[in-house]
Amino acid sequence: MSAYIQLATPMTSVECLLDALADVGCSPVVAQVAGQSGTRATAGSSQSGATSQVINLDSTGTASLVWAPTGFRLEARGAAASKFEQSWLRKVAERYDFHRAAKEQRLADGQRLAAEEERRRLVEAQRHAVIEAAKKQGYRIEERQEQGCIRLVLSKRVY
Amino acid sequence: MRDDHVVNVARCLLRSSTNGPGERFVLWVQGCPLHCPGCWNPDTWSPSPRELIRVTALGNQILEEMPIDGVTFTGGEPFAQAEVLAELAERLRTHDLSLMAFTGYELEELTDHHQQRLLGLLDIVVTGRFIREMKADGLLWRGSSNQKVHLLSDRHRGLDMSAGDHPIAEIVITDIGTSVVTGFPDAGLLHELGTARKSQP
Repeated sequence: MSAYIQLATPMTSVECLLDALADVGCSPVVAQVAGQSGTRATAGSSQSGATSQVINLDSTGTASLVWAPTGFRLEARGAAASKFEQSWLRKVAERYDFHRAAKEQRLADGQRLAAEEERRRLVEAQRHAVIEAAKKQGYRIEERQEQGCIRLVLSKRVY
Repeated sequence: MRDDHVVNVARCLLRSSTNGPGERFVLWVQGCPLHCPGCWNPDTWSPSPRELIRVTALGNQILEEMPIDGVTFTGGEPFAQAEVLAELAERLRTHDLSLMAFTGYELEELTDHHQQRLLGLLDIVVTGRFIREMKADGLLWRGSSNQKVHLLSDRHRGLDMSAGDHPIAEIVITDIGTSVVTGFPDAGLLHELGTARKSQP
């Protein structure tokens, strides 16, 4: 008999994994297993803390996804082993990838929006500073919005 | 083909109302042999190619900005590229645009055939070196009091250049937060803007 040992899957995000499991018809229960301080999440994982997480896939506790150092590992015994096997895991992995990509897109959108907001804040601060400077120097200010730019036309008495 | 000539360009501003009368496209050319101490734009002195744009392409770019009232050539020294700017001016003339130039030369120094040709196409020219000792604030379209505004055609005969409020400086803040000051900002404003910039977060 040769060894066949299921190592950790590359699924590291609990949030995405739970979404994926829901997609394949599972209503898992997440349990925290304390005292396994050696099983920390890897970078990019939504896991945190020193405790390990177990996602129970059925009510009997015979099938679970157990956090291993680099991802969740499928553990199924008895009759559950025929249900929760590689092809099932592949479906979960596909849905996981979908949710992971969506999550990354949301994060990217969030970062983009934050960057845009920061730019808007800088532009407004600059506009305010310029207007204050011009007022202080006695200029009359006309403001125009053109092609995404702010144009401040400053008039003053000439001789 | 004459239209294949290129203009050595330092930069453009699509619209300005402080570089001549009305709304104008402003073209800063690259290269100036005069090197006036205290010049606003010493980065435009070198005649080395900066951005070489064909006359036809530049003309098209300007006309894309229509409706505008006119085009202003500044720099740099526009009359150091008189031949190509005259070609450009001829093209723009057919679209009834007002044409203006700032030059460090006096009128009597512009004797070259191409310079005369360019002069003949302009409505307004502001002449004279910038002389730091004669620098004055509050001069319409001029940095020092020796400089003169010449109306070369009838187009702007009724132009009000008398004492009073005129747009003399403008600041463009882009959507990414860069800003440009153009026109003839006085020293006080520049000082304030410097202070303002330092106080930016």
